Amino acid sequence: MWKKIHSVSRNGFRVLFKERTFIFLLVIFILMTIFSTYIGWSTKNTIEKVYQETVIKLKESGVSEIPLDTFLIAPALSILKNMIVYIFLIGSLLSIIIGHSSFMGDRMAGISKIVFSRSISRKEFITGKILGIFNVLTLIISVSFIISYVSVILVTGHPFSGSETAKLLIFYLISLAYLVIFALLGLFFAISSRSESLALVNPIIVWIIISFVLPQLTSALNPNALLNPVSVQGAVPHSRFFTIIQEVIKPFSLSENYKEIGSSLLGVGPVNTGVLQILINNSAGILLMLSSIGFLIYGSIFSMKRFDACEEEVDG
Amino acid sequence: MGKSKSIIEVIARKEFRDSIKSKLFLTLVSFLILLIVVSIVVSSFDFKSQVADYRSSAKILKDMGKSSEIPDMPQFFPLKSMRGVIEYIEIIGAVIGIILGYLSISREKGKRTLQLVLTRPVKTTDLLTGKFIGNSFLVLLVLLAGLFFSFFIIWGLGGLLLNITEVIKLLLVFLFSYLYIMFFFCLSSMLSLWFKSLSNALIICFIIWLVFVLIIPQIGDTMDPDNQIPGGFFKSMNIDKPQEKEIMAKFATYETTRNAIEESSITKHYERLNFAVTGIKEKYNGKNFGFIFKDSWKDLVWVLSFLIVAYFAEYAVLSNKRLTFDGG
Repeated sequence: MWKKIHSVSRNGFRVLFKERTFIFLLVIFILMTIFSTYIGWSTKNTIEKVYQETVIKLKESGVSEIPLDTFLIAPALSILKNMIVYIFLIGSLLSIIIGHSSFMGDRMAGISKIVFSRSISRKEFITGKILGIFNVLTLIISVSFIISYVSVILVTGHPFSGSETAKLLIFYLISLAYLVIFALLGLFFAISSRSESLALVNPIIVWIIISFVLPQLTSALNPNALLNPVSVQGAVPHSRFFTIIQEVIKPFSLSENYKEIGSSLLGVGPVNTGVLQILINNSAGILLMLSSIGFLIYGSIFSMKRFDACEEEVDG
Repeated sequence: MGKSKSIIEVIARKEFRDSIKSKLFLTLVSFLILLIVVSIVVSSFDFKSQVADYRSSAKILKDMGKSSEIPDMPQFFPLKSMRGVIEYIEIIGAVIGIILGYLSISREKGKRTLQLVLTRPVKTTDLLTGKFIGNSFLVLLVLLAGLFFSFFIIWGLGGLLLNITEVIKLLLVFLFSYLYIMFFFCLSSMLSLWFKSLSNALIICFIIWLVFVLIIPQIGDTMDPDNQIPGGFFKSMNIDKPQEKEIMAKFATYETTRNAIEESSITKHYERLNFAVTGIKEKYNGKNFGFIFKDSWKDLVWVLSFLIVAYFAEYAVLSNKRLTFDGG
């Protein structure tokens, strides 16, 4: 059984590689990881200088009580704060494409019509596909982790402590779980949708709901404000209406839970706590992610069982 | 001329009929309308809760005998509640344009009718114009529905009937939205014609959408020094606007780079244009059209330029029969 699963997974990986989808996505991830460090570093340097200029201006105006420089004491990892947004925004969308391509390619080529004439069950086939997706994402996330690790050391000039390395590692593990959710979403719709375009657009609609609509309902933040980790961190509900909505929806809002865990791990928030404490504080969010993965795996297996292998040509 | 006009009309009618029957299109339109409703409702509730907060603070100050310290009551500017709607059109409106463009070409490619049409006495411009006009009607219909919902929700929840200037401003927002969506329509049609695999064309188009709509604005926003602290850095330091400008003048290169990054995206121009017209950007709130367009005409020119370039790029790809049929 494992041999067959492994064979499907290896084949899925090879197809993604051959179609250049994998290389393309890997390049995007590498670029966005480098960008994230560079932008974080450049912005931190600039805001430091802006702070110094502001202090001079305040002193000239005779102000004696000057607010503290909070940027100077910000943790080294906080320059990677854009990575949170890139993962929840770009990474998740690209993962949908990975999940979509991994099955839709077979459907379009008619492979799904003949593969079950061989001695492989649908469950084994889909498990292999899921494993293939997981391997691709693990490789991408590992490369991203290494680049982040090296680039932050290079720009800050300080090696990471054990706790910082652990935080970065856990951040990328959580990010991997987040990406797997969206890849499975892409896979699920690729199996269950009748047309190719609906199979791509439906998970994108779910992505928009998770990334923009639910957070807007809980924080009243408009879509663009949600792209800035700082405004997300500063968003507080104004009234009882939003407090109630937040209490009801937030525990089920994947993107907000991910952003909260990411911010705590990278030290974007005001409180800098230990790894274990962060994991305990965010255990509900982690559980939500894991149960979403479980639910989507079950959904994919279920739709694979109902999948019509003798279907006519897939619509555009 | 008359014959050409009738060909364009036939193609436009066919495009309109085909797209309006598409499940995909209907799904996206319903979703956009739902988002418009959610966005204005959330915005209205947000404003109502601000007023409630104000009233309770004012009461406390009054009870303490500090009536003179009570600040002005927050004012409701109905068009400002359109912010979420504009931002959703930036995101979903663009997706609708992409899907319409994709459907318009995928139908032809799937049934191999493009080659057939081009062997008949149909000019490339007629075909392109017909498709453009047919889909324009669809986009305008969707936006009209959005306009209708926005108007009545603001009226129903905010209790405010828009005056004639505000209605004109609202119409301008929807006109700019039309230009913006049609840019993505042309881009998507062009890529669908160009690429052999429709799926790859759609993926590339979504990547471009991601860059224009989300990545570039995100980079510009997070690089803004004032956005480094919730509520604003300068506000936290008790620095007023003129002082802020003096300080930032010393970081001209950084600000120019940041602005250049933002300006490379059609979405940012579309957003700036609409934020000026609706008064979401404080500087333009309550100002006349002359004042607004004195600054914003450049953004309008940018949006139009993006659309014209995309239209001619599509024309170039369609004209190049070799490329098109290789892809078909």
